[in-house]
Amino acid sequence: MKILTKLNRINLRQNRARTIVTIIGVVLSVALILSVIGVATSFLNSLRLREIEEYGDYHIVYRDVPGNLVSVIEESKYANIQYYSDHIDYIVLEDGTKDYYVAGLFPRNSYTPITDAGMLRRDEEHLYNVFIKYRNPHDYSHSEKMLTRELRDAGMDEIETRSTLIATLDGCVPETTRILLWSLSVLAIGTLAIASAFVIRNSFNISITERERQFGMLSSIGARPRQIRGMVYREAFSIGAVAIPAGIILGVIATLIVCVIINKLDTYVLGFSMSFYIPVGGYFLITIIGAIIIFLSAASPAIVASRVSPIAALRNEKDIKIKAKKVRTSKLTQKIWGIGGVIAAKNLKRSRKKYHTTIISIALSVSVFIGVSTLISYGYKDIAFLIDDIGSNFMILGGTKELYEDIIERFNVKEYAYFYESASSSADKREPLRLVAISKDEFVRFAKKAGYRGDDYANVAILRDYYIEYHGNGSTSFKRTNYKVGDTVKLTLDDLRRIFGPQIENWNLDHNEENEEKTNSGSSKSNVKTVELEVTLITEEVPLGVSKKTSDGKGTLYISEENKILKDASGIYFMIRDFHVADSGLGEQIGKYLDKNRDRKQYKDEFGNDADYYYQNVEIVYTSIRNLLLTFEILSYGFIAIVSLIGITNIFNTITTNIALRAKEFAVLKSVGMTEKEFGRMIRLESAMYITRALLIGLSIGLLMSYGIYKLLDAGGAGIELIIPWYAIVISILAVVILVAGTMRYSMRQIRKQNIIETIRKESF
Amino acid sequence: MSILEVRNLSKSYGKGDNLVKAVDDVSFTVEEGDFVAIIGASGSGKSTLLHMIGGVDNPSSGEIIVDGEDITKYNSDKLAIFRREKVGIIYQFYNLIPILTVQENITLPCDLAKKEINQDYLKELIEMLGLSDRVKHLPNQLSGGQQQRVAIGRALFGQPKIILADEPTGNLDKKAGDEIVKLLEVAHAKYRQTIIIVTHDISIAQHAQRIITFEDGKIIKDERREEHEDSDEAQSH
Ligand SMILES: Nc1ncnc2c1ncn2[C@@H]1O[C@H](COP(=O)(O)OP(=O)(O)OP(=O)(O)O)[C@@H](O)[C@H]1O
Ligand SMILES: [Mg+2]
Repeated sequence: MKILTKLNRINLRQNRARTIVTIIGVVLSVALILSVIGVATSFLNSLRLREIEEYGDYHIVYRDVPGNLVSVIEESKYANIQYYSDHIDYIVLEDGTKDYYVAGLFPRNSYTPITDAGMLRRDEEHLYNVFIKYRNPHDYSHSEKMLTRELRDAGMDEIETRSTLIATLDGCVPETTRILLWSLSVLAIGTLAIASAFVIRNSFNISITERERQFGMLSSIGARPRQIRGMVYREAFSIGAVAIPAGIILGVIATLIVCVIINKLDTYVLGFSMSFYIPVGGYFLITIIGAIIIFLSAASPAIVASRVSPIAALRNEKDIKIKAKKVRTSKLTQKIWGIGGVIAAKNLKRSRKKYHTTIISIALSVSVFIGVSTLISYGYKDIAFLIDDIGSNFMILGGTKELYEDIIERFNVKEYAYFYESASSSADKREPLRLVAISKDEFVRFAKKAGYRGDDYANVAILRDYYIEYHGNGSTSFKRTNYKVGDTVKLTLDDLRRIFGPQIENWNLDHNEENEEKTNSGSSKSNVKTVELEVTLITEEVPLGVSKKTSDGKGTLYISEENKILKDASGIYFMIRDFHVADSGLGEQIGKYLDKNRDRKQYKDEFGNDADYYYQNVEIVYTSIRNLLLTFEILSYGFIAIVSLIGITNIFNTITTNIALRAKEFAVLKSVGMTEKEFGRMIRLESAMYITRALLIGLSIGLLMSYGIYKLLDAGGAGIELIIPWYAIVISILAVVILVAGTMRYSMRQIRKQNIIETIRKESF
Repeated sequence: MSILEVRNLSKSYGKGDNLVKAVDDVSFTVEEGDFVAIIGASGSGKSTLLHMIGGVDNPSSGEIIVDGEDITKYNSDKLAIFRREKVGIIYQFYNLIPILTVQENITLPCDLAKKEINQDYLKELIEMLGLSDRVKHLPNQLSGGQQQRVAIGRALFGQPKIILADEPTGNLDKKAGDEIVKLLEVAHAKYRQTIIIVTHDISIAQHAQRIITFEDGKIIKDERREEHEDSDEAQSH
């Protein structure tokens, strides 16, 4: 037995490169699986912590439970009461009428709405909100049903509940959602597990083919199959013993790093910080599963090893099993590629099984790469859509022109725009249209951008070239305008008072007394105004603050606020809509200023600001979204990178060994006069043959995957565009070619250094 | 004219105490069309010498002049072309390519040189080798002697000027061995190829015109065997 252990140790040491690469493969797999789980649980856990911090540690709240019935819940075997509170918002302490017993305090943070005030002593008259946790969250629906029944039996008729997010996190989720979540994670981890099983299996397969003669020799001198299997298992054990702990450490570190990165980049969109959390139970499980995978991966090579017949050692040929038919190649191959091509093709046929592993490794990496890239592109599009860069860094919706002007002056805003909206429609019904006026400086900028070369800005009307039409079924389509430059557009403007009621006059902008009188004196019933405009320009450009990607269901005709139409009609036909600041870095100051002033009476008086406004510091939001996008990219590409690395370890192992095993064959070829150049050509041909095959398989599966993803996402009829991941395809082709060429070069260099005759004299073929 | 001239050729392995001088300052000349046998004890350096002449091993020092050119000065490419065109090596352990058939193994050097294959000669050679019903077989489907004959076929087919055979009969019985020697004699007689054969078997050496005896990496005896039992004595260093 001792001698076998020694042989093992020598073998592992002799194939140091492969042993190390195998260990790296296993370490990466373990680490990746663990960090996927680690990051996911950290995320969920952080979500849970935030939820508890903000709303409390309960699954569901029963509202307005009469004091005498709280005990029903208390005594129920389905739930634990976390706490209960009076349902009113404030406790009014009246001296002497009641005495309160302070049962405890629960901390409240800045987010907590002032609702659930605290704990009260229970009495019969009051209604209480009872916050509970299910004893068995996974059986939540049954528990809820039973609790409700108990309450109803006790005499409570109207039962109102509300569950929280932590209920979901604790497993109180509908069966279907849980199944979906589960299957997704099982799929991700399964892919990884299969990839790693591949690495290990392949490594052992290689290890035993290399030693076939040794096993044959051992069995010819009487080693029992069990002993030989033991050798392989022992090798597996040594690899696992090194790789699994290292993988766990690396996985924990990776999880920590991801948490730190996410916290560094983003807390705004997530709304909370990631707290590092390691699911010990899950890790333990993975370790055991990993060990089992290693064992199973070693099992079949071990059996193969134990069945190596002594003849393999006794005959001087290893390839006893080759059949002439199996390695037959066509005359054409010889014609086109010469003898080098014939040998390359035959060799592929001979070691079909070995090459299968390489081909599958490459194909797996390529298809996962393409699939995940597609997912990333869709995700990116989704998030990028959120960004929808309208050029605005700070915006106010509503408000008044005075307010805007105050801000412009006070903060010395250089680039800004505000808009007047009208309730307009095209009288000729050619297409839906609305009239929007833009603050004059921005209108000049916009007109120039759109290609206007005159200087009569007050009379220019610019039509946006396209709009998006919404259909009843939720789908959308992209429309170009029917109008042409020079067309006269007839528009009817609705009196906004008819739409919003008379108070519009209070919160509207320009108080154009003259105008108002005019309209008032006219027939107050027919307060629709018709205007005619000539389309000066049609453009795809948009002014500051308008999205290029979206529009409501109408075309937009832009005019300057200096236009006579506005002068005649504002106050009744136009209302100020929004204000955009393009200057960056002002958002915070302006926001503070607005916060300070919005409640001050004086300010209201000064600006006549009864209308409410809402402001948003877009810059922060966008920065945050961009960071989220970055995080998303880092994580997904990180995942791809590591999956590919695992694939690479596999490819590296297979190719190097394959070449090393054929060293003698190569030496013989050289001894009968094959030159280095011919030799290189032959190797390149061989690589090209299986790279082509691997890429064909990998790319087709990858494209199928991305089509599947498209189909899945498009299932709702959301009008998602089909993405063909060209970049991913090009990158994977290049990467595979470079990788294989590099590995080949590396292993060829090892061989080239060897002396022909010494290689030939080595016993194994 | 001499086809091969070996000058002060040495090959040593290892260093210091472990230094082994496998071939130690050997010089000799072989005329074109000669049939030379090299004999000597096991470990005396015969294979090493043969491998160096065949351009598959590099000497520590000395020159090997084949057809007027010193092959020790060749780069790896030129050396490869030399191996495919000037010499045919028959190894003690066949060294065939396991994935190529008998015929493909035989024509391998010609294919490498991209030379037109002379089908008539191929047929004749295969017949001569007694492999006519084995052309489509792979090496591992053949017996040891048959494999050795394929190796000889490979060495002969390109009709190189020099054939180097390292104990071509070492693994064979008397009858099979005799057949192989006969093949070599035919090649020698018919195509005037120069043959250098390393052997333990004195009865095989008897077929040669000249016998060189090795001991400890040196030539200790070099005799020309005329048909009439005349012998030339040559000195060694
Ligand atoms: N790679 C090597 N390293 C060290 N010593 C070597 C090496 N190759 C050969 N030798 C030594 O060189 C000497 C000559 O070896 P060689 O193979 O030429 O002998 P040989 O005459 O062909 O013997 P045999 O008749 O047994 O085949 C031997 O003593 C051998 O031990
Ligand atoms: Mg020898």
